[in-house]
Amino acid sequence: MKKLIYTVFTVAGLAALLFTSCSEESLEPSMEQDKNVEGSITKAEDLEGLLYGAYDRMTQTSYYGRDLIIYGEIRADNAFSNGNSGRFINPGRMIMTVNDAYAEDTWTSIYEVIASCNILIGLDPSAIEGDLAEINHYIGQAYALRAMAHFDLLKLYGQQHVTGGNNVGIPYIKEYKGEDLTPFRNSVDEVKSNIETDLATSLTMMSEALNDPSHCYLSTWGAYALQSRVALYFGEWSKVITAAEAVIGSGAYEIIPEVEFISSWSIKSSVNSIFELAYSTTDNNNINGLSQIYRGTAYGDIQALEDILTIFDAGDVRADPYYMIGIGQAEDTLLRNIGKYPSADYSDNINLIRYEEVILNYAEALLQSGRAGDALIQLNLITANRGAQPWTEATKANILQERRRELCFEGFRHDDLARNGMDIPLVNPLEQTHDGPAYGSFKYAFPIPEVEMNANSNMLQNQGYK
Amino acid sequence: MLMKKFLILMICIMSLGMVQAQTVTLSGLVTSAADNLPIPGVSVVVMGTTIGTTTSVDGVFSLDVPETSTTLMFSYVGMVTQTYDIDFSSPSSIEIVMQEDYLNLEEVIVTGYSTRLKNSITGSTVQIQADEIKDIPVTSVDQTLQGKVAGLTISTSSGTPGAIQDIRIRGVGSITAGNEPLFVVDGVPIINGNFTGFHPGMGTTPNRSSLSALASLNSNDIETITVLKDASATSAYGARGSNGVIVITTKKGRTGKTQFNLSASYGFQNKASQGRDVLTGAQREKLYLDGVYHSFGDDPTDPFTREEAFDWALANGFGGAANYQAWRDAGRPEGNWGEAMRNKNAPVTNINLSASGGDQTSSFYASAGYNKTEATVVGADFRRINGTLNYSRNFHKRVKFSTNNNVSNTAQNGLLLEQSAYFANPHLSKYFMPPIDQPRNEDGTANTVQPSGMYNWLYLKDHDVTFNKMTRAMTNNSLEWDIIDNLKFKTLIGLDFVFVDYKNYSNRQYGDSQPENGTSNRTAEQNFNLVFQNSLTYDLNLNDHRLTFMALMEYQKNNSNWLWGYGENYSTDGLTNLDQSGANWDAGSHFLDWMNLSYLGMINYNYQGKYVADVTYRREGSSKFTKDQRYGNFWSAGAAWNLSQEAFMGNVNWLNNLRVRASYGISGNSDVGINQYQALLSYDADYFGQGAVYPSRFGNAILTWEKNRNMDVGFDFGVIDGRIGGSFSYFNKETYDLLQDVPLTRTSGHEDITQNVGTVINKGIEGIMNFDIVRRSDFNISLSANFATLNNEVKELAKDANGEDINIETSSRKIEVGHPIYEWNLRTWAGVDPDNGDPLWYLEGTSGETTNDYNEAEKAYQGKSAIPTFTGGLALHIDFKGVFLDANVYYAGGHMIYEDWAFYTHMNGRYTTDYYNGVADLTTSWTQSGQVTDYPKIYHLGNPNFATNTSSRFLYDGDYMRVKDLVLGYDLPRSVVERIRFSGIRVYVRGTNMFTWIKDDRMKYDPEVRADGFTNLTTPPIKSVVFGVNLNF
Repeated sequence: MKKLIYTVFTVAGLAALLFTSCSEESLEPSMEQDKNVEGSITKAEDLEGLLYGAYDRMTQTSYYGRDLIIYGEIRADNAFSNGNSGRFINPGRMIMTVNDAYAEDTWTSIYEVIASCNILIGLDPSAIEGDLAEINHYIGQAYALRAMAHFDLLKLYGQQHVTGGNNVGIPYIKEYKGEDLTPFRNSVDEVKSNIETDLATSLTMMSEALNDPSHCYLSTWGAYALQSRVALYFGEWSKVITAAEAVIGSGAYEIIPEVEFISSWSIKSSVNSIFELAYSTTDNNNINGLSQIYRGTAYGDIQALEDILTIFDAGDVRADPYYMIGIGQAEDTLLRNIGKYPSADYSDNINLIRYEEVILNYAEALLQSGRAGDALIQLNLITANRGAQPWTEATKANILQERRRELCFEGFRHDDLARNGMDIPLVNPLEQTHDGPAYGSFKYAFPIPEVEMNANSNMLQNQGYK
Repeated sequence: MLMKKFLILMICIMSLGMVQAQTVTLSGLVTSAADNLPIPGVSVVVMGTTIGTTTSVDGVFSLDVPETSTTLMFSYVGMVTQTYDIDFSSPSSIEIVMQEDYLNLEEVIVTGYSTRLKNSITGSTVQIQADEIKDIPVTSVDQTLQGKVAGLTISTSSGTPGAIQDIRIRGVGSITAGNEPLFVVDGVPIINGNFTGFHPGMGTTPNRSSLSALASLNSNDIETITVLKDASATSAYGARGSNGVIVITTKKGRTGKTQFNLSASYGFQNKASQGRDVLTGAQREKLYLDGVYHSFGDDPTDPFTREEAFDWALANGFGGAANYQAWRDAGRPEGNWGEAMRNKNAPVTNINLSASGGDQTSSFYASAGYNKTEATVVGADFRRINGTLNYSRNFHKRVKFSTNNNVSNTAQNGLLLEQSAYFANPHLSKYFMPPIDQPRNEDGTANTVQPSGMYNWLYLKDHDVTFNKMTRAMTNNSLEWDIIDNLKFKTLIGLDFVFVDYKNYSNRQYGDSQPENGTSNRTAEQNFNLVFQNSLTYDLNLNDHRLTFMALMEYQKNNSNWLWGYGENYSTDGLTNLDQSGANWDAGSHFLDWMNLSYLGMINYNYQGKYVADVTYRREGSSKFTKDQRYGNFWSAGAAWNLSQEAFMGNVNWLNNLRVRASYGISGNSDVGINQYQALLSYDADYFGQGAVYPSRFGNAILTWEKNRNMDVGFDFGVIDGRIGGSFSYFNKETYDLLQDVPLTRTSGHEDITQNVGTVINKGIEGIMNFDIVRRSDFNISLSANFATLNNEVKELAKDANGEDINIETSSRKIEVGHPIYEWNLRTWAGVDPDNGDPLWYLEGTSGETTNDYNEAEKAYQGKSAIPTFTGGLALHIDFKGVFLDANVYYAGGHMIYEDWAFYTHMNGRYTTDYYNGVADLTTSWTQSGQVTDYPKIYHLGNPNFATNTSSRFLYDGDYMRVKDLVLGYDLPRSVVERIRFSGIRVYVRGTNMFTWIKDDRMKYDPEVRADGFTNLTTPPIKSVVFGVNLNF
């Protein structure tokens, strides 16, 4: 009996003491790095963080950090991939399979930028604590970035330059975590009109007074510059003129003079820079950036085609054989882009929109609108600052050549060829591997990545790929 | 909080009064029935108490027993346990004769939470004894299990000493969640992760050799390893048991005089498989010129012949031709990179010293060990030092305290870049460094002038510093209290602390960090694991009905902390720490934790040893899931019928043992990343010096456990006095509510969402047979064979908004309903066209029309996946007058393996002839019409026609058989040994992975690959010969 009481008490005591010592609260995990999306965006500085997140996503190697710029150069007649480290082989051949890593990574990273923008756009500015003008300036930048990202996607994946493409564009996503997880592809026209609407909205929300002097964030002038770029691509010349004149009229920028041209590539926020992506000595893409792919000994896959030297006049600073386009350093004996994105410590900012591009857009639109004389004046503003011979006549060919001289190695060339219905020139069959596809070839568009096709049963694959 | 309660408990227990009783001394002799010789080390225990001793070297024992004692129990491994009713009136010495237990029915099986006699297990378990695993020269314990357990496959993901292994028990059930079994050491679930120095905030995947937490355990300290496979065994582990459980118990002390054991071994290692031969410089030059000729020789504007190819290429400024010209000028020296990197006969050393002893009230086991293993390439090695102290003491006749402690320090040096495409890895040098470049200069120093642009490991290994050092301290402390005779309470606290120090310094003169003037990375990771268990066990005996009840509570908490620092720009060589770096410092830190709380109830019913039944129920909660979905209920029921104990079987003398068993239950899997259910914003990015925020996870508010429905039936038998015995089981495991990273449209800004959706079935048959062919006192031959079949099929997957299955596809594999997980799905190779040297693929399926356009050909299922459908092992043991031979063979088949890297090494283009190197078989490439070969025409292009892109050209049957262990040894005779006051001396030579047979002769690499089925050029498995000696004194 005594034993039984002793037992019962002991067991009850133990049970009470130990079996209930841990309660359910002890199963909440600590969240020390991340926060729940819900309830974390309440103040203007939260928006600021998210906006910077969108910019940071643009700096990825698979977007503007390297790949997008290189695609534009090797799928053209400026450069080629020599395969030194096995990079850009397939984009250089313009033959890719649906599981190509470049197509997949670039698609993914651009839509990541769009998702970040959509979080901001989905917020109600009046519900956020802080200065309303500042909040609207952030949201305005998000609209502009969203437009820019969709534009980049359209240029790469849209079917506008493919024969039999049926005007198929890319999905235009306007909501973060929206209902539709199997979006259809919008038509090229729908994408274009959405881009234009977004840019217009961004201009109503941003204010000139809040433009950041560092040029590392989009400003109102950046939005206008983007408008000129988009309109140029679609051949809407009057819109180009309006937008370009807004930028020129701001008086905030200048064409870099000849003596400063070379060094302007190593300094940050120079006077011709409208929008550049910020990098630093500790925040950069390291060997996966532009510097290493254009020149590095371990990578150095992207080599300049000799043909590019033929388009410059003697004395043109942009073809300076020692500082701009010349034989590489040390043991390298190949022709390289030396001057753009030069720093060996990978810390250069990447310039996405320069004032000179706006001038050239303006010149081309003026020509196409029948104002050849004005076009020539604008064109020669460039040559005057580059040590080149002035043009005597503004023709389409001259303008395209000047664009090529000014913007070589910055990722513009393929789009300039495509929007003008031109074939990809084969200037050196020994080095170029794409066999010069004719305009309308399916190769003018990247394949839709296989992972997207698998996850989204409403997605259509591009012509020529399966 | 927990510690306070533990202390209160200890104080309560210690304040119990000690009752002294009168004692009487009993003594006697124990001999063996087989040879009438005395048996030392037999355990003599007073039944129902912990009072006991062991017999001495002469088989004699002497024990003070309380006057109230009734029975003495004599037990010894391999012998039938005997009881003796004490007769205090008769003072004569006790004589006990012990019988051999051929059936090992008295064998005790450790199942983690409890120990059971083999006869009363209702589930599928396999137990490996210490003898089978000690002295195997592997660096981590899990590698010793290969081939010994039916249904368990170990894939060596890397031969780097200390690297983690892929372990699968009964197939692969999970697609996204982990497939690794749970490891339990001395009753405490431990963390078994990869401790390579990197932290999640760094944003990159680990690219260095992995370091397994199991590498800190010394196989010599292990007493048994039990593999629990089916529900009735694993349901007790609830949420983490669904992939199987591996229970490890370490050696404990034995009562008696202190016994010492010293084992030492030294051996030599080489790669188990030599891999492919590569091109020489001369061969490569010929192929290069073939390529130039094929690409440009026919150009109408500038034609040339094959003989003129070199001059033409040189004249046109081809970089490759210039390199060959320089090579010719230097006298065509051949650079043998494979040999330069090889560490031939890499030594492996193991020394272990242990002591164990004890008396009536306490016992201890202590050991110290040292292991040094060099890698088979230069510049990398592994070293481990560890110590163990296991001690137990009876505070009181009813209270037993025991503590198990293990401390170890392991270091991996010269860590190799692995798991990705890093050309500086010395294992890749043979395949990627051009043979026209030299690894060493004339004076023997490393040649740093490499036209290929890749870095020479010979220089890096001496000037870079890379190491991963792990210090681990594990301590389990428990207190067992016999409250009343059949009621036992046990409380246990387990602490496991791991500290990992990782460093990577890349020098400033040569290598990846030359542009930054040298870089240095240092990571400090701490992981702390706490387990707190309390249990009550009650034995109820009603006549012949025996019921055991157990109630258990377990709480586990785990914290991880990372701290990382980085610096650049060194002004001098040789100084490698962050203090000496000059600029661009960066740092990061990170913290994660998770918790688990569970309640377990187990009932075991045993009637006369004939009928056995088991029921377990576990309710477990984990912090990895949403609040509403946090808890899961897991249960199982099992039954066994020992037919051989039935009366009607009593006359069948040739049948010693026959039992049937069945079990069914549900267990779970929570092995997903932490915080998967939350929609998260991450703050670890920055832009323009400001913190940047981005949405990092889609989130899923209803995320919960993955579950497993497990069914197992089987039977065990033993005939002819136990000379033939075996057991067979059929299992059917259905994994449902799979934790899957369901692919999302990338337009959402996310790549996937973790959901519970999908079902996979694994089913098969396992069997093991033992044959004691010859059984005599000085001559024995025994053979044991085990096999397992596996059928894996996906039954259900996630569906998208249109009701269509979301298949998961990669470039070579696919997960689709009706196929095994990741069945190989790729274009089917159709050979090379003899007319023009073009590569061919089948347009559809695996036969029919062919095409030479890679994009035209469709992918097709190849019929198999990377999971073997049949595995088996064979173990042979022969001993004759002290000389013994052990052989262990392992077979796996029914799967297919893909040759990773073949894209580069087989390229019919410039990758092999101009940039890197290629396989020697390329010399058979097509050059003229009518030539029948499997190697297409070579061109002067990077990738001319996708001939080496993913296709069945590089998919091989994975069937192979390997002699895993071959041991020849000699136990010195007792008489000789005792003369020098030793109790045992053994010398042996052991060969590991000595012989391998591969079914598919196109497969030149090691067939033992990672669980995902890709061969691995980086650190393949090792073959070794080791000489050792074992001394007991």
